[in-house]
Amino acid sequence: MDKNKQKFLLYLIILPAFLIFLIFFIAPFISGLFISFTSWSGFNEIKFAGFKNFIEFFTNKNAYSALGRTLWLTFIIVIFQNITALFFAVILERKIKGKDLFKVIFFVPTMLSSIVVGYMWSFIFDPMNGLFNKLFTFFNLSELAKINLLGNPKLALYTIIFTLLWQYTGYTMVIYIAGLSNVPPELNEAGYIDGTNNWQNFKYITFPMIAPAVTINILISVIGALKLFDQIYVMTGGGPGRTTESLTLLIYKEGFGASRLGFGTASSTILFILVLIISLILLTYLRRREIY
Amino acid sequence: MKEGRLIKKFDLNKLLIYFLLIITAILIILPILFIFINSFKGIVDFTKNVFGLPHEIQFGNYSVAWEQGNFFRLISNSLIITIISVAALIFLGALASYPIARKKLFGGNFIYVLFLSGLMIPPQVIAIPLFILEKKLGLLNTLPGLIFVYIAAQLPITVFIFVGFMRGIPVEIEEASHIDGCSNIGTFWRIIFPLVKPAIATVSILGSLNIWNDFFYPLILINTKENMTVTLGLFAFRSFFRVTFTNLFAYMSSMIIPMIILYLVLQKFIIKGMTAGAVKG
Repeated sequence: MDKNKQKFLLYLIILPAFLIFLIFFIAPFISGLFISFTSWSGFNEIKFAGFKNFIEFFTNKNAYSALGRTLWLTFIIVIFQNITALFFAVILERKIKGKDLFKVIFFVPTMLSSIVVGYMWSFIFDPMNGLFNKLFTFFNLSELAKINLLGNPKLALYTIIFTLLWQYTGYTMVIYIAGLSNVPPELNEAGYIDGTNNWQNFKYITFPMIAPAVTINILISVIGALKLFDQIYVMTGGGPGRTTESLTLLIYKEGFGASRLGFGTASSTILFILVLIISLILLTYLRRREIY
Repeated sequence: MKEGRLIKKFDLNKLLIYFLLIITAILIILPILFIFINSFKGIVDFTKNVFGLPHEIQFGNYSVAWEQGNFFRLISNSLIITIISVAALIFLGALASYPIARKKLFGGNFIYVLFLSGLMIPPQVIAIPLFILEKKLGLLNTLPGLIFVYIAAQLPITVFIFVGFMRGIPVEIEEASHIDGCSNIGTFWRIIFPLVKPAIATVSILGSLNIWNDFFYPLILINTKENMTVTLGLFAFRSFFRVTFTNLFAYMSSMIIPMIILYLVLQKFIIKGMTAGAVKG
């Protein structure tokens, strides 16, 4: 009896956290799945619509190109963020004067709110009073000064990507530094004795040893890029045209702007499936190359 | 001869590395400095003299940002929300993690996996139904409405960190406490909770930053002026009538500067906490 009471108490202490999570996270998630099969607008009667919303998603150019854009953006961010971060991590792992100072500076953007960073760069890129404009005007490069980095359909997406790299590379770098500090220096020394150069040491010793950091960094950057919203929303709002509209922005516009809840939640479901599939593939692949 | 060339090459490398590091550091500091310096200029001074120091230091932008932008009300909203949510996360999260990590409970693993699944669900996925739910519960436009959502949204990473950490504590410590006649709850309070201090530090740093800096949940759940968070306040302030660039800079600086001071004071602690959260996985 006393044992049962103890067991009951253990369940009881899980309960408060579990209930909040269930009500404010899992329940919306599941009802979202349900709404995505209806044609609900929030006001009319809920009518079952089968796969209509999903079919529309893949036949509506705006929707499927938002999906493609999200994938492309994720791909670029993951590659550049990780390569740059790893590069600086390797540099700052060495015995270099002032390395702690650089580490502290590079981490500063991590502390800032994404919306502050978004506004900050949109002022710098502002075609009228921005820093870039004034800089080019100052050097009499009026052709360059005329470029509107956020208003140009071809450039806007890459301008946003630059902002994201500015904000998040420092965090990725610090995680790589933590990974690198776990690599015993004797291993590299042994390599040098066997006649390897820096690059070979990195490729055959260091890089395999930091596999766990690679896994976590790639996962964080992939999921972060797939759910990216704030910077796009404040910098371009998806424009010019729809050239920077990501899946998250599409969800927001459909759900909260157009009140097409069925279609909006169907897009949400697709975003979720995307995150799930990509994370699972990456996790299986990356875990396999970890040695321990 | 050969040695001489080697040294020279090495120095060139080092020079190049420093050059890169310094350029990058400038690229990071300059935009922040740009916002800060220009927040002390009048709008005319700003348009004529973007790069330079202010001709005359003005605090007018700050009074506009703080009064019209309702800055202090919104900052205290953000503070209240962050503190309550993080306190609840530490308390409820640690309590829930203990049986999951240390006891063989029927369904315990299922509960754990359910919590972890939250790591793969972006806020936009639950946004629309969440809005409907909060509306039905009468929580829309309220601070408790946001607090519940933040607790729920941060529980996956919190439970993940606590469970990982608790599993690393030797079983013997717990057994000894049971032999001494401590109940499960007693063991948790007297033995486990004090031992997971590093996990508590990580959870508080990660949770505070994520909640303080969040913009998406207030955007969909709050639209009354008084109950906005400071991030949503910046967004709203931008769309106000006759707000100038320099006014906005003052608002942004008021958000950035406390953050940077806090960071400089606690940097070792913060960097360690944020990486521990990631690397433990």
